[in-house]
Amino acid sequence: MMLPMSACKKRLTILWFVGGGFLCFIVIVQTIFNHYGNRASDAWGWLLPTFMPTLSLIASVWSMDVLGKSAAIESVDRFVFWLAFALSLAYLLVVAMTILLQPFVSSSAEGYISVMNRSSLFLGPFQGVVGASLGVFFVKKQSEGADQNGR
Amino acid sequence: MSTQADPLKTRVAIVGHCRSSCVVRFSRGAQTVIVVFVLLLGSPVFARLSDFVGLWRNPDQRGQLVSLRIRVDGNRLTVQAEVRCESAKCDWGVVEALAYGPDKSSVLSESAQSVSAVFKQPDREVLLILSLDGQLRRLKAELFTHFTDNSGRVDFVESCSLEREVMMKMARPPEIIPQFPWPPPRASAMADISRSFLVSPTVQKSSLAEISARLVTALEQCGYVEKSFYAVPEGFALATQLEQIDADGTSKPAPDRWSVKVNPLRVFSLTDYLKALFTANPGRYRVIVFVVTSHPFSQSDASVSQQEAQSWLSSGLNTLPKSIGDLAFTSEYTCTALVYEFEEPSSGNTPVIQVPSELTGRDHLSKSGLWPALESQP
Repeated sequence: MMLPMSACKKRLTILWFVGGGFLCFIVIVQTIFNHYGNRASDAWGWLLPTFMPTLSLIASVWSMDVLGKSAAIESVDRFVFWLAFALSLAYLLVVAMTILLQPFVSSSAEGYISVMNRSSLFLGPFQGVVGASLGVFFVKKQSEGADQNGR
Repeated sequence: MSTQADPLKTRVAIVGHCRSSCVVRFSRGAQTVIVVFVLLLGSPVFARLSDFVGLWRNPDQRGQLVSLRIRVDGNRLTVQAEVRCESAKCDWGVVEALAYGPDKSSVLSESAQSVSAVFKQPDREVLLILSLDGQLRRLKAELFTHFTDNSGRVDFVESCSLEREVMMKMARPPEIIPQFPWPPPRASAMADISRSFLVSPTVQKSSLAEISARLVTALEQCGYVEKSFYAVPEGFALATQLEQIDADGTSKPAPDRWSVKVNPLRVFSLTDYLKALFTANPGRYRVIVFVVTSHPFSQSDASVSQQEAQSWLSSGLNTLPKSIGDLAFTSEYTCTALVYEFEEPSSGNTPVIQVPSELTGRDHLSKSGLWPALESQP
């Protein structure tokens, strides 16, 4: 069963921007209230690589759409969409959990940063899988569009 | 056999040359012969007569002899024996004893070698021969038992080694009372404790020990079970354990209360969670010192660190010394609570004293429960 590509893309975009915005909001408030003390740069250094590459990719594809440089693919397989959506949601939840569970794990800035650094062990591979699933929607489409433009 | 008292000097037996065997007729001569025989078996030890004196116990629980008490009263040497009977311990009573020196010119008070005594019981006569070991720590006892009741029991000899019972009179160490820094370091807050909280209206005279007891009772009601006493001029200081508090002065629930670091959340509470998630999660600590003295005092400019305040608990005395406790709590005395509050900006940072505190001393005492506890005491 196929789903409209534009709708799928919008849903994924909304998911990532809302999720990324939520994570940013939490860390911004934490930074303002000096939650990380003098380790705020470490906290941001951990957070941004977790979602910024994906957001940048999504934003660039949307830019291509606006400029009309990408060819329109009308539909996408339903399973592929929901797989990408579920993986994205799970990934963003795991990233959020790493921040939201801090009060139960430690009480010091060093402890929080330590938790974040440890989470890289599982977030790195997870991010790779999520990125691959999203590529079906964004990278693949972009390359296909480029091929069509090149003919 | 005689146990008649004679001057000790006249009782010197010559033990160096006689090699007769033992007989069991306990005449004075027989005693001497037996003593000679016993002494020849081992190398002689010349001790002062006073070395025999004392309470000696037999460590062997199965032996007939339980203990011996040897006394010298002027020229009179006595031995009291406690022996094991069938069901209990029996006292053979006090009998006069004979001391023996190494030769006939010996001065027994300086060189006694052996002591003998005879205990006459309804069914037996027991000759007791005593000698000391080389280090004067053990008393060797030989008991020659002769049955006199015609029961047909065979006379026998029993030997044992007794140990001196050391009187455990431990010398009381000199009373060293730690001094609280004086004048006290600058506190975050202070509060005067009303006399009416400390002295019952019905009591005419009160001592510092009683004041201390009331303070301790109030502290224990509020969970401060560990405290420490110090001396201050004409009085005492009572320091509490370092505790962790909330911003409003309320003591944190245990075990976080007594922790010297801010712990992660143990129980979920939305307020605490949001505070811990977004803020620096500062730690607040408090030590309360009650100063009871007749001397008016100010506070010094010295700043106290959390570590120093924490050490007040272990450096002081566990109880108020009698020399201070016996002082009368006169009208000149006051009781002041000094509150030392420390804030750790964020966990892992060094706590710094808050001078002044955002709360008054009375707020601290009220929130800790101490004010109501003192107020409610009869």
